[in-house]
Amino acid sequence: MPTRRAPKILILESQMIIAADVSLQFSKLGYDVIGIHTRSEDTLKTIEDNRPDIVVMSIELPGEESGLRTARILLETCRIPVVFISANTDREIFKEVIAARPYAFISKPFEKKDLQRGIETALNRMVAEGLWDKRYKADWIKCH
Amino acid sequence: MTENISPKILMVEDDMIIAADISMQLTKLGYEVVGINTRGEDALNTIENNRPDIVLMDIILTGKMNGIEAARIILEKFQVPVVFLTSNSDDATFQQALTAKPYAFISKPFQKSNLERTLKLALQRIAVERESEPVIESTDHVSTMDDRLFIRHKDQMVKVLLSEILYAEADRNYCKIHTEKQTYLLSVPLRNIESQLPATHFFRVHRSFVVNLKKIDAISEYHEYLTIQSHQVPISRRSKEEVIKHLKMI
Repeated sequence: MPTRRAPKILILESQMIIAADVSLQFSKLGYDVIGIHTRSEDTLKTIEDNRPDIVVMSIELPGEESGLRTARILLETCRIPVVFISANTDREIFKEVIAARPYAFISKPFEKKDLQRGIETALNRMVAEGLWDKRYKADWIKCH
Repeated sequence: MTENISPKILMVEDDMIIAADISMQLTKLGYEVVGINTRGEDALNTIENNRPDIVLMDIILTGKMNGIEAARIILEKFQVPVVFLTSNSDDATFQQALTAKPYAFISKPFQKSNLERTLKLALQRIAVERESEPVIESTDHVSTMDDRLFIRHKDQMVKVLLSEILYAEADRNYCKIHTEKQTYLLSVPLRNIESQLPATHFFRVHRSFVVNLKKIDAISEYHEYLTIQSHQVPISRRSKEEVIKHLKMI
């Protein structure tokens, strides 16, 4: 029996002011934000010890591991669903985004409801793939 | 410490709403919050390859260790200063917290101005202590041939051609080498790197910057800074004349 708990979210975004804003919104929606990282290296280093249910991340990240490469590692190697947040509308980049198979894509600038819909879309797909328990979701939604 | 670089702060706090709120305040105050962790274990992992200047630490955390234990390890292993920010301010906890030798102790709830002043004082004390510390001399990370450096990078020594180096930047006892393709972070002070670079092509334009003279694309009108590709490098007042001597200008 799974215990009732909200989905754990890790945020990876280089601009702290945006990350903090996203985090506050998710916290208010009842999600459990387990951390904010500004560099992908930090995420890759801690992810196995403290696995989130979803990583919400920006595509544009500084450092050696670009956002897309990091996303691919998270999705393909760690098997953790990824939701992208990006202001980039470049068609070529978007092709790569699609190829990485994220669970949702939220465009910047966003409103609270865009975040909510993005993450719920991702959770729905996770239920369909058996990565997230449906009852579990119902339980969690009931309790907040 | 260089004055114009914003101090890096790592937050360790189990209440994400509070953390996000403080982080926004700190960002507005000009600090760079490099991350927020809810567990001490994650903070240790983060610090290992991304040293902040200061850690803002709550005492109650979600993981196995509490903030005091985490702070003790951070101090011993990484020598990164810790400031406690906590709501359990009873005397027993405070006495225990002291064993981790924090640079300050802030009780929640706190006023924004209190946070700002405490951090300023802590950073000042850190700077004073650093000044009196001897700089570690080591060149084991770097070895030279005439036209290249071999730099430790991800468990290997990799070749970096001197002609590809744009500039090197000091980050306390670390040093970043920027090349056209990427940036390397070395755990040696800038002056060790400087001593390995030929003085004919490399010049220290600022306490924290050594540039490859061949890579300079532009110099600002009053010689305040240099442009190297998309980077801007400050020129210190002392070095201005020397820099100009190296460049023919019409």
